[in-house]
Amino acid sequence: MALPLEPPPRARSVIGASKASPMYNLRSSIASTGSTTSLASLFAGTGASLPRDIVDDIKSVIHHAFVPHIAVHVSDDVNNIIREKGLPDLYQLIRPYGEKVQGRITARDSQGSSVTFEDFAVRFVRLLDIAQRPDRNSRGAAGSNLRNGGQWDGASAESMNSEELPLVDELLDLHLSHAEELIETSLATETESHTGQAFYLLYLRKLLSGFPVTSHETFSHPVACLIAISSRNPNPIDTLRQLYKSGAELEVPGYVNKEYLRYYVLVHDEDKDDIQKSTALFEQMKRHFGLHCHLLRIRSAMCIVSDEDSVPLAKSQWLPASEELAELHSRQEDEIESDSSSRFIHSSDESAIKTMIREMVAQSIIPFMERNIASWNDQILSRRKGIGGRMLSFSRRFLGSTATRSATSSTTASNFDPATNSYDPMTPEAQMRKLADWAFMLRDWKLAYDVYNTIRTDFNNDKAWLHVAGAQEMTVISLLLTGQAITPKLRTDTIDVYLDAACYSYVTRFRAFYAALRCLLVTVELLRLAGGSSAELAAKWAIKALDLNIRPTVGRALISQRVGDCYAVRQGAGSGGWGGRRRKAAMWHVLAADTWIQLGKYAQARHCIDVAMPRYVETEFVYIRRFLDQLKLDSGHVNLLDLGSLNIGDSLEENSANNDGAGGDEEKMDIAEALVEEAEKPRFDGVISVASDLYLARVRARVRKYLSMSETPPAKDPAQAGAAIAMISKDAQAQLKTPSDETPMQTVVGTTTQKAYEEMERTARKAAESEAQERGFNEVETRELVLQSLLKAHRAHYEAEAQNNLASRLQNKQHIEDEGQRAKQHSEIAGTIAPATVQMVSPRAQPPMDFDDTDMDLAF
Amino acid sequence: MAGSSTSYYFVIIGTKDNPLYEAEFGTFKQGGDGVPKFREEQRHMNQFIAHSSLDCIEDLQWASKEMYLKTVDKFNNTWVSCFLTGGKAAYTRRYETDIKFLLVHDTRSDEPIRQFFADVYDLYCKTLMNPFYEVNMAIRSQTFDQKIKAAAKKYL
Repeated sequence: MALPLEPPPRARSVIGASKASPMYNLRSSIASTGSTTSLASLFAGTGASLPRDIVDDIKSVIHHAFVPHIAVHVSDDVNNIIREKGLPDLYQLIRPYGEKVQGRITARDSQGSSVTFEDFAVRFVRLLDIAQRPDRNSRGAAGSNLRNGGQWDGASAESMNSEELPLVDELLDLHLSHAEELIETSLATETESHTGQAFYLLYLRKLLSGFPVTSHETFSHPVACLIAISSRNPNPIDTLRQLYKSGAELEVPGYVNKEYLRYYVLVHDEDKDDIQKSTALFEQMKRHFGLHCHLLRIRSAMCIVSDEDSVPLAKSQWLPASEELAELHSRQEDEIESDSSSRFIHSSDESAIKTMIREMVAQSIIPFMERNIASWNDQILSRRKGIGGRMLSFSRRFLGSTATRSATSSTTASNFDPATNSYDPMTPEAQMRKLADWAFMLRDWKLAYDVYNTIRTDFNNDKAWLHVAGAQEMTVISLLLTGQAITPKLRTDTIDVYLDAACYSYVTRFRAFYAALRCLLVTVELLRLAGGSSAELAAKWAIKALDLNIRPTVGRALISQRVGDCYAVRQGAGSGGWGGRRRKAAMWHVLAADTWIQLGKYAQARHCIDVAMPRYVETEFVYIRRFLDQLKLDSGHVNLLDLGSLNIGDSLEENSANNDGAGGDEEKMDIAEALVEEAEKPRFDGVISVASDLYLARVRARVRKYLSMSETPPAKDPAQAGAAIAMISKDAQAQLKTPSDETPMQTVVGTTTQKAYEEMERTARKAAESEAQERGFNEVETRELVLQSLLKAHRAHYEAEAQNNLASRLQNKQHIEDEGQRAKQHSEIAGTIAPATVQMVSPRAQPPMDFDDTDMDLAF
Repeated sequence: MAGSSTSYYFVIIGTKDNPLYEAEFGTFKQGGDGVPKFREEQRHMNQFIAHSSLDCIEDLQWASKEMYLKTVDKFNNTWVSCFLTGGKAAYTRRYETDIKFLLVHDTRSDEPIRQFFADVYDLYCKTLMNPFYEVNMAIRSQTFDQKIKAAAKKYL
């Protein structure tokens, strides 16, 4: 939290930097759903089934969140070599490569069959971090523990607190600001992956990046420790021993098992040291420490871009939010060095590191985990599940209950230590939890599910609520991952109950918002993938996750958008989409758009509106309409569908040409300018965006068109022309000035089709005038004839349009909006004309008989 | 949610998700004055909530024989109660033939709402008998409005 709290960087350097980062390119697969054209969103909103790659994306985020952690413990001389390369330490160097272990990794599951993973990952942590982080917290907690006298505020609960959450929000805010900037500088990027669920996935990943070290789960406890020395070390074997000892003596929290695998690495400096000496040393190491050794040959020379074999150092995708924020802030400060943020290493180094990690994982860590899982499975789980274990648990339950009744300490019967709210790592309970977690890391969901299910009751008997919550959480997650069909019974009896209980424990007993949010969001994603009525359940729990976070933060906006996505996944049956949740999805997208606008993220808001809009195009709910119009205005929303067909430049040119031909009526231009100013003034005080510029351009084009229309009547009759101008400009004005019930955007749509429409009017006018001349009509008669023919033309046009309308309605809903608008314009124009020609107009021109409301009262 | 007294938003929804009649009223119980206490931002939310609850109603209406479906949906602290008119029995083949009465409320009380809906149904049937009225037309009659408000005063 000691980060400089400055506004998100808006400097150019950061844009450049973020372009360099693979973050945005990575998610190219998502672009397909993140499209913002209105046409595409018609289908996106109704929830087409999830594409394959998206499912993989979400699953891989979840898989990669729960991976073995490997502590790194190195001697100073190793870090010296790395520093010569221009990197802080070995940990920073190897961390990115742990996120994707090269090649396939094979592990054996509890049934003995081997499973292959394409994308296995491990996470490196500093051993010192594990030791320090909870230590700091537990000290503070110990005090509060005593003060409260409550036994449930354990040390671990403190570190489960929501410290990380604001940071994640802040980071996402930063990323979104970048995206906004990119979108504002060029409109095209909006259709790329900058909106849509890319950011939600990023949010999820950041949320899952830094698991705190706690007692109730062992995901962040080290599975192995990488101990490294370098070839420069004067007495290497002793240093290794020293490191082993210092690592073991390091004050880690009591619940962290120190019996992890030690992996010894000798870092050989290719540039300065003799390989033969190093090989000899390596042989010696092997003799002393066994097989878990590796010789890492890297160069100590600094690598620059221009070097022949330079490759950029991979960027870590799983940086915890706090670290990434710190990095971004520091990058912002020294703008000059921003280029150095993408560092380079020799490709030989890269392959050496990859090989080392692969070897370590495939030959040491996986077998180590398998062995442990098998032995724990044999020794503890089977015993626990066998007859004896059941007897033991029964008797303990009995003893436990008598113990509480006799008001002596209930802990005598159990291994649970309420003072620290943890189990000792050697107790069967802790080992079972570890067994389950390790099985989970090796993706043996079934075994994990069984074990979580078993220990849950154990924890429950001991009243270890945090552990119960953890087990409940993981029971649900592993159950969903097994891919078992989710029956309604399973849903109500298992998922609902456990999630509810886990959330209650996390939030109410421990105020561990982070844990609760993680539990909910992971489950929501898995339920959403299951589809159908599970998706609705996902939405329900996502709404619950919203309750954890009341302030309008980025996280909140993302989650409410996700609620909408969850509902959208649920498709209805049949052509009517019966039983779907499209209206709910639309509502949540609108709510998300509202939150986005509050946060000033207009591109996101526009995306949400695009998704939700098809559902509300025809709605007759007044407030909904008004609210949506307001949202559109606020976010600078514009129908991208029109943009393609609209050539603003062309129409402007053409119109100015028209005006010139007419002799440059300055008065008209004045009116036009006035109208444009009018349109410019009130609406876009807050939002200056590309969209608003486009909108203004369109208003301008439109007004000029209206004025140019008045040039078609022959100039020989000024009175007539004047009347027409007055009429038309009044009409234009009326259209521009009615923001309350019509969006200005909508009023101005369809400029190109307007051309055809004007042409029609022009011909109608000319025909009428020539007819009048033939018949030798006077002025007044001519005018009436012209107006009448105009009216006829309008009506014919309108009827034809209405027929077209029916056909196109089925194809393109967006079109309806435009048609409706145009129909409205026609009737408006017709309305202004009609009074003048009242005696010549046929009865059909009257509006259809509208019965009086008082008639209806007859029935009462 | 709406201050000390509860408020209600009542809407009759036609077959195309279109509102035929809308009204807001406050409670008359416990010294309420019958004036709705919705804040401005709640008014569009009421419509959103009512509109989105149609999804749930579509599910429920085939599962129940009752016209009164009780509480069908919940959004934060707001509940939605629903009553289906008899159109359901007459045109089961077509999906979109039901007129629904929805009441958005912030306290749960099934029985008074049932009585209110019964009265509204009575009024609605009388409206249907009007030869000038067709299904799905907006109801603008003053008398209808007054009688709905009277029913609200009586039960809610």
